[in-house]
Amino acid sequence: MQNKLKIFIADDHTVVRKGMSRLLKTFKRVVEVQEASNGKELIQLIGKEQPDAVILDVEMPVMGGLDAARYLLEHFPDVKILVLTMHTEDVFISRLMDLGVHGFLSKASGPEEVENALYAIVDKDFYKNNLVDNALHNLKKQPLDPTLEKLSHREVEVLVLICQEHTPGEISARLNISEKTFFNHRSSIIAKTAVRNNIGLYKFALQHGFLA
Amino acid sequence: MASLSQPEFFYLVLIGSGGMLLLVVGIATFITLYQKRILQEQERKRLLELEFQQKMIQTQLDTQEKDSIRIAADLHDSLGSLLWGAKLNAAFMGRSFEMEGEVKESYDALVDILDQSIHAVKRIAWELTPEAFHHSGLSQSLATLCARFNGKGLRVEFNEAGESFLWNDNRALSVYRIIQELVSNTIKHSEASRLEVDLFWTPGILFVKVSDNGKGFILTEKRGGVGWWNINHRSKQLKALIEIGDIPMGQGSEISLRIPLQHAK
Repeated sequence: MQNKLKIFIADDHTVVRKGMSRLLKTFKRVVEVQEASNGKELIQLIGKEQPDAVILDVEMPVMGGLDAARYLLEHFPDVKILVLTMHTEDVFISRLMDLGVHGFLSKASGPEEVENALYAIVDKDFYKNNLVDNALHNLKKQPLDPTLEKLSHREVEVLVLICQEHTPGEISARLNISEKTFFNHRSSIIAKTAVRNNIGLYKFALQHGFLA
Repeated sequence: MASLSQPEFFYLVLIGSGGMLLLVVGIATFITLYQKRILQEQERKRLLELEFQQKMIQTQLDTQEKDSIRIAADLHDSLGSLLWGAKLNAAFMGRSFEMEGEVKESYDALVDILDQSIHAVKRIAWELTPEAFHHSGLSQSLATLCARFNGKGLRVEFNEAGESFLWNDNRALSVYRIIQELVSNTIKHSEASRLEVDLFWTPGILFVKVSDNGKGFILTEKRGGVGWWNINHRSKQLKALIEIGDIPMGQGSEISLRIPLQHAK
């Protein structure tokens, strides 16, 4: 588990940025915070050094959160993205989820939630909260796409554990495998299910009845 | 004076009368044509005026819609974000100091006020314009509207039957606005404890019924407001038929709409 997190924030409102920056510094596992006032600045910052996670505002001038997220997911897939937004309607969350964003928070959340979300996206690759669940609530069950390669039993086990929000360490210990083996399984599952990351796996698992 | 022979006299009279007759017919034709022209002109003016009025109403409704969207976006992006910034700073302070007694109480109240303000901003913005209307469509947006007003002494139910489909164009938004107005009228004036919004979809017509068990419809006073102006003009544009149910005073109200679904699909 990483304990020295470097976090970047992008928000066009200075008060929000400064407030978030101060708050982040009170989190135990956060050691460094850098700020950008729009997506373009954020990408310039990340070009120089990579953070563990970014906290993105959706509505920003010059380059908004969506475009920034798209760029980061493509060029820096290891950087986790937490989107903070006022727009919490299912369709918006759903769209961001399909894009591959790792977690969402409404701009009303308390500090504990921000902290939990940040650790979850770093440790477990996704943060499952009510926004995610509401957005997936109306998801229709689908039969498995026959063109997809079948998951092995072990892979199904791994998939379910990931969706139950266990960390790689926990899952490896539970299944008595090395973390390296775990990540091999995960890559294989991601390839077979044609999703981007764990939030995609969660949606896939729900959609195909792997979760109760 | 030279005397005229009888036939000569006769012809003269004939020509004279003929001329007179022609003149009369001519004048009559002229007057008729002229009047027709005037009537046509009046009719043309009336149509132009009607068209102009329709355009004005359209513009007014469009402006309303645009204003709502702009104000909602402003509320979210400016006020909402600033309040969120305030909350983050408050959270930082909460984590930096050990507070107790009245100071702690005051701090908690502050955070609570910030939370309530953020929620108020979201609620007002949502009521101004349902963010996701064009994604969710009429049925889904109405279900959300009813769910939002449900509770706090009022049961709001949404039902639909028939072949519903994702109707999300500007006409659909107009229907949504009418129902939203009716629902908010009920909430403001009727003292009802139950409110129902029913949709029935047929291939050509959408039937809407908004009914409640409140004190009934006050026909004279409440119908002059901006709300009714909106409802009337919107239904006119939708070519919809609006009907106020004949329910004895004090036993609730029922308003029905028949909306043609021309090319809605």
